[in-house]
Amino acid sequence: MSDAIMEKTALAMRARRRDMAVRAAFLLLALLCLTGYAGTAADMAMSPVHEGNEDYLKRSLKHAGAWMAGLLALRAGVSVVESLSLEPMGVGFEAGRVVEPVNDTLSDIMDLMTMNALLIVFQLAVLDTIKAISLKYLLGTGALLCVISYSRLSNTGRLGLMLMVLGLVLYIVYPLALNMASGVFEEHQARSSVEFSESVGVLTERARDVYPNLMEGGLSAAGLRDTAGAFSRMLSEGTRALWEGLWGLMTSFAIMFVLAPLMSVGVSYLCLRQAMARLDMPLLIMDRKAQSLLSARPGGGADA
Amino acid sequence: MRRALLFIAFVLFAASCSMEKSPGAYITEAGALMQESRYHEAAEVMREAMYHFPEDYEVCLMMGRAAKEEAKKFIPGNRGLYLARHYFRRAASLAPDAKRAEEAEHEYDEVLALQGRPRLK
Repeated sequence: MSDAIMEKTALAMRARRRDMAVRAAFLLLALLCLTGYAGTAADMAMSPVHEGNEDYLKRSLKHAGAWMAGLLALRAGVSVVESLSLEPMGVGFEAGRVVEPVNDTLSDIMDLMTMNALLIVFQLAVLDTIKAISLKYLLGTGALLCVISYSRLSNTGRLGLMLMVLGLVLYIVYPLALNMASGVFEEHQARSSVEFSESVGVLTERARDVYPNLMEGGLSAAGLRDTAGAFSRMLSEGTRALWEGLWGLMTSFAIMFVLAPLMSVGVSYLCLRQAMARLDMPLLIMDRKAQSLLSARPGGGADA
Repeated sequence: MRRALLFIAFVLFAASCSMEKSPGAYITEAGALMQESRYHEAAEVMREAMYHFPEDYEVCLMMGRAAKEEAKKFIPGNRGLYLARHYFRRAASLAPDAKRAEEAEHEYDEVLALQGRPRLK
């Protein structure tokens, strides 16, 4: 009997020492985070990812800005045409009616580009905020709360663990997911650019052959047929170049403004949700034998 | 589910740390394929190189050669020969010295000859 009590006491003391060690570890983590040392070290490790993301977003913003400038110039030109009212030979002709649909389309595209630019600015702000607060405040505050209680059964422990997981997911998973999406975008841009330049290059080379064709064949039937053939192949190549250009542009927009944000937010949310669901930690960190001994009643028969 | 999360994390890390070959590695690989008369595959390798190094003289020259060899068996009006001309002209504009520019222009003239066209100069 006394042996059992002594063993129980020894196990309880061991459990208490482990508990103190865990709380000390959380305290150390909290101090490192709140003083900024952990953030500095982590920033050095994650700097390629953060810099890559900032480069990608700033280039996208520049790209969107160039598009908006071009669209503004085009709209200005169309507005001038729209205001024209000609009366050749006594018949009134309002150019505005003809270009009104063009102006409406340009206006819609302009609204879309403005929204896209705002979305990019928002993403940049989100990244800066994540860098500033996730390790220092979320992880640090979470670790501090876990010093008080790290048990999931207590509100303090749950809040602390939740803040820690949120801080880690935001700091690590979100930028990595965005980095992967930006890699997909860069690769797609490179491919589209090469394919488009190939189409334009082939079109140029075909165009170079049209004049010699005309000179060689002259106005003979065979010559005109050859020239018509050359023009037809040029037209086909031009259509191909235009299609590839438009398709590449649409896919770039889809990757930049839909896939990239969805992927980064979606993966982060998935990781966060799974981590929260898996936070099923025991009441105290102790071995199973100690747990069963401590919960055993003096009269025999352990609790379930 | 833990394994799924670890896998996601690994994929994210791997995707972020992609390794890139040098232009020389692409050219060597394409050269070996062309020696085995696998011109289409050589052209695909060099197209991959073009995605990463679009302003490299050697890459443009090799791309032109691969396109030329691939298109040789088709009719002279084939798109591949015009593609080869485009890359040889591009290589000539990117050439670091007169000798290499002349090499690219010579290749361009060879394609013109294949198409039965006189030199444009």
